[in-house]
Amino acid sequence: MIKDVARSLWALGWIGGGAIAAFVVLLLVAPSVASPYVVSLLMAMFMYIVVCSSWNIISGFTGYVSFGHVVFWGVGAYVTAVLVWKFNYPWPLAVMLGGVGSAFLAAIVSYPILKLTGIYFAISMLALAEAIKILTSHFRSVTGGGGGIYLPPMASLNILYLMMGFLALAVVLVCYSITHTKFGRSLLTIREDETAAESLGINITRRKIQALILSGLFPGIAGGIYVMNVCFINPATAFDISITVNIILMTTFGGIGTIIGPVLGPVAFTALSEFLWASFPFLHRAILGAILIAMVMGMPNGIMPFMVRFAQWVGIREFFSRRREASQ
Amino acid sequence: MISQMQQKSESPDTKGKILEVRGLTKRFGGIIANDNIDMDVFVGEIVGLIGPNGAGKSTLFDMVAGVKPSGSKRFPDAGCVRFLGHDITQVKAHQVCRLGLARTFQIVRILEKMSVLENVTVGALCRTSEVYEAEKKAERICEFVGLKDRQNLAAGELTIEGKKRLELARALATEPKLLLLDEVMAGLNPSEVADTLELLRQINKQGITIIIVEHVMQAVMAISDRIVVLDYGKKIADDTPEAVVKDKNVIDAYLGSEDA
Repeated sequence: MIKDVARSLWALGWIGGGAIAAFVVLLLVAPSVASPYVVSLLMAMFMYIVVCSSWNIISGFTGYVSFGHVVFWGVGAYVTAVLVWKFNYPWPLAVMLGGVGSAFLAAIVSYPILKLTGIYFAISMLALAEAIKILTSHFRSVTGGGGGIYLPPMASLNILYLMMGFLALAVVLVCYSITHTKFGRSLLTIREDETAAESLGINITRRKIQALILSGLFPGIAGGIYVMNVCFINPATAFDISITVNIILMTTFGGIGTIIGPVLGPVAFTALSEFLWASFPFLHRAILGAILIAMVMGMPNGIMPFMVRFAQWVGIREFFSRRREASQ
Repeated sequence: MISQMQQKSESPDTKGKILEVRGLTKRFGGIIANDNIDMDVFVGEIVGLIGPNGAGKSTLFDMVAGVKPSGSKRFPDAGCVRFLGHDITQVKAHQVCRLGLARTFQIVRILEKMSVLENVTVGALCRTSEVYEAEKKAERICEFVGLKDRQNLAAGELTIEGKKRLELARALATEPKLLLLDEVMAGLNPSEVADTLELLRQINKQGITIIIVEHVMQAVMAISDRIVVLDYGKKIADDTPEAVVKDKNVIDAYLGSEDA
């Protein structure tokens, strides 16, 4: 498996490596040249890249559409906040434990919940998010109840911005690599046909559980970074269903089941909605809705597959496939 | 404990026996799909499994391979299945595959959106954890079954003949000792049937035992060492092809009995 990961990273080549380098440079340079508004926008974008890519592991690669993915993000945020607030943990450790917490939640619920498929899985994830929201409101002594938790603000937010950026990069690379491993191939097989997958020696129960845990891990870390950034969390924001809706919208926008889709989706979506909000203060939501409808009709598989088809049409893919043959 | 003791007492007998089915029964509500079936398959054989529609052939395959039939429990209601001495009655499909028993499906279950090569690679990953290695092996198998020129197509774009062949290739990639083939020749034209028969003989020569469910009678008669006939879930005949075609019960099952 390690060999496959190494091989896949090597296969990124100059173009992939260059793109990563460009991203890192942009990430490091942005805070010193751009306004705080742009930096906070970038940070939101990175956060959505993390959660969309994670959602894509269970819902895009494995085919189990989750309508409650906000729960992992919210649990990560809460674990971090409680550890810092109640137990005075150093915040980087608390953020990491936020990821552990959400992965742990995924592990607990995975076995029963993954027995369900299709709409039933989607609904039970939705119910899970709502249930956790009510539980956090109820246990006031641990979670601060409905009033939420206030944290002391940090001296510099720059480090959080960088963490979110590198986390986004790491998650995208993980997603890219797993599609080149046995694990990733098993997930894609499960998406297409579970009976066939089983009869080819794939332990589908175990693979689905692993996928859900991986899919719950990164949003938890992102939630932890988020809560350190805004210094406040309450159940209504931590388990807000509109975050789940955004995840699904953005990933669909970019291309479900692709690697670049969950990156392009948040970038395009955030840029578009910010632009509309600035230009049409009263009508921006209506216009965004109209554009979304048009996009779903015009490119039902998202931007990424559309661009691939477009590239095929102009013959770029031919160029790339010839390059690949030459390199082998 | 009991099964171990039985195995021991039968050990001289089980030598050379790859599959042993005893008293296998499976009900779907009021319907008995498999009724107390006994069947033995020996190493290196090609066994034909025939019977009218609804006789329980595919259910028998599902039960042996540990596949969950839709709308029912996974495992048989009674009886047992032994494969290479292991009791696999309650063993799930993926473990059965690891033990060396592969199958194809009557209604093909190829992974339509993946390429032909990727489909076969998934099968090969049963024996290795390196995708690269699995791909190399998949390429060899594609060549062996005659899919090499089509290996980069999306599997969904193949003709029915190609899809059946792909399922066979994918099953072979899991390195089976016993191969269960569910109607791999249905819907093929005569020359394609002849090609497939030749391919099956080559597979058999490599030491892979084959059980084949088939409606194309000439094909199954030509290739099988032995034929098992099911009717309404019961085994009604188990003999050489020559003897089976003359069997009164078999003729009655296919043509309807005169007394009825």
